[in-house]
Amino acid sequence: MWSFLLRRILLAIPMLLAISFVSFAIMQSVPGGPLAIYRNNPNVRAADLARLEKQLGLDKPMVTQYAIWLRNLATGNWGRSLASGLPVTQMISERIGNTFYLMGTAFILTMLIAIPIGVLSAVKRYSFFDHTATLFSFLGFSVPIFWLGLVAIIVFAVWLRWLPAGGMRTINAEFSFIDRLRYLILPASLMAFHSAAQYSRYVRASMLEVIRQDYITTARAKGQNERNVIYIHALRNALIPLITVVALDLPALFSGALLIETVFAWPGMGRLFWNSATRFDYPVLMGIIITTALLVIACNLIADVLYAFADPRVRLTAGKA
Amino acid sequence: MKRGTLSYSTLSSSLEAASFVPENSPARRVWRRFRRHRLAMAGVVLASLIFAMVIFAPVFTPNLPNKQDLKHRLAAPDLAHFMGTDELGRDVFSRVLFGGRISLLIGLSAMAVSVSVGTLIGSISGYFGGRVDTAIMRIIDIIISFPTLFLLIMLASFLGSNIVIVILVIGLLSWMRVARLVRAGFISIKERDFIMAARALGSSSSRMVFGHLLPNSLGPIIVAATIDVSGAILTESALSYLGLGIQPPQATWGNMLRFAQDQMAVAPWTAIFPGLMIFLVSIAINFIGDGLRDAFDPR
Repeated sequence: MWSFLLRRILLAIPMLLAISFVSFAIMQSVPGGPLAIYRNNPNVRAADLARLEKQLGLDKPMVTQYAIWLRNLATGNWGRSLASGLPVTQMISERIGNTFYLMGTAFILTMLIAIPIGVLSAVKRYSFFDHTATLFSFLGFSVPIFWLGLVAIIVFAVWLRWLPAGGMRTINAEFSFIDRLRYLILPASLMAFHSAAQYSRYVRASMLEVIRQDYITTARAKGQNERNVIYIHALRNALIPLITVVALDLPALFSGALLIETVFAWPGMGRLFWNSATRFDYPVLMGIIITTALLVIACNLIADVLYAFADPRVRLTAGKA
Repeated sequence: MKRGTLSYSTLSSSLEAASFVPENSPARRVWRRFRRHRLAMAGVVLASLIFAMVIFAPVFTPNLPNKQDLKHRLAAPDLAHFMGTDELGRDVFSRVLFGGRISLLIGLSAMAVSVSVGTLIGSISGYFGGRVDTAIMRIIDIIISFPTLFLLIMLASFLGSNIVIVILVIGLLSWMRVARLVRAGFISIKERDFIMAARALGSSSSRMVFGHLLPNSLGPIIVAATIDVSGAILTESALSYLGLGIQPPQATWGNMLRFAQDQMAVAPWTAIFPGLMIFLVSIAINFIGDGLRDAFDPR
């Protein structure tokens, strides 16, 4: 297993280099360069601009700049935000926890919705329940998630006044679990609805696949009652492919989180990315891109290892890329 | 949905096949199965309705989308403006219809870009195989392992937001699925006897690809293309909602939502209707896609 891990980590390095280089090149090719935002500012003089360019190393060729950026990245110097002057690492670490908090809650909710629906759909295939669940999943992945957020705010915050319209906690209030929950419930459950729409289909397909197999027939032939057959014998194996699905879906989850964070003014990493993009704050953008890429790579690695633990037939060998 | 879109054999085969479709041709069978798919037919009706209203917008609304009427700002829906008016007194219904033109245009064009690029790259990968294939697949792995929206935001905010750029950016970031489907189709068809026969007869590469391999993998491509339209509409609306897509005063369903958020406490209709249109178009197209999938690949 260790050689497998080592190989996978080595393979991830060219991938990170590719992602970061392309992003870096895009940002350098902005009309007016990375400092375009200052060029339109009448308070910034040409001499200041030149000094700033020299200070940030922007007068050097792009490849040299990339090499310098890469060296700094490796030593933990991720640069400073052009907008706030704060270190990028500090800005990201302040936000990333909030994103995890939202995505984690949404993930748990997703599983709580998707697994029972998927299992029931498979067991009662082509029933009224199954058709309803199909329709529900179509609704889930056809609806623009940010619009659903707006509608939820109109209904629950404006009309019913049950929940706050956005943010993460009541300002100046003491920390309280209930308070956090009130702010979390709308964004997390909308994200969960969106993901569950897809995951319930995977669970259903995977469950149908497993139910057909011989060992399930054997379990029934042994006289196991149907509940045990479904929930113990079948479900455990049917959930294994879900590990891969979740890992592959992670990039889409980050995209979804960005939109939800924007709608609900949730102070997470996605919203920071969007804010920084509109301000051309490229050190922050690069930092978030690298962080996200690292997270996706790490989660895929974890998923592979978990898969091997969950399914003993899978062996992690260095040969398997 | 016209039959022409479905008859994939007539597209590929010779002229005789186009003028004489036998009773039991593959195209007929696909069409018959598609027609029986109830959700798909509902999707066809809904999508046709929305497309017709958007294309013939002036027939359905007397109001111009950008005409301001500051005396009637944020007016609730009534008979004159049955989706209400927005913060500048513009008729929301007209903006929804005229804005829909842009949203649908972007959806269809971005699909055309992604399907063309995906088919090209997938064909290269599947036809040549070997190292070319491995390299292309690795590149696809890298692209899809990154959140698309992040790249879109970056590109759209840096490159500007005219309609051509938005179409290209969305199309060029969503061809990977089509490429994989085409490649998979090629690889499975390459081993069949009729391809061996074609090769033995000395068919040229282009004849192999355009005469045999592509026509026989058309089913999944059409399904993916359909679903890509809804994907592109959703993506465009997300970008415009974030303020990075098409800029006002030109309305699109997405950018109408951006401004609606500020006033949704007083004028919820400005937020509800544009999003409802995105939702309806997207679900109609997904229903059609589902029907096509079942029709092409009966289980």
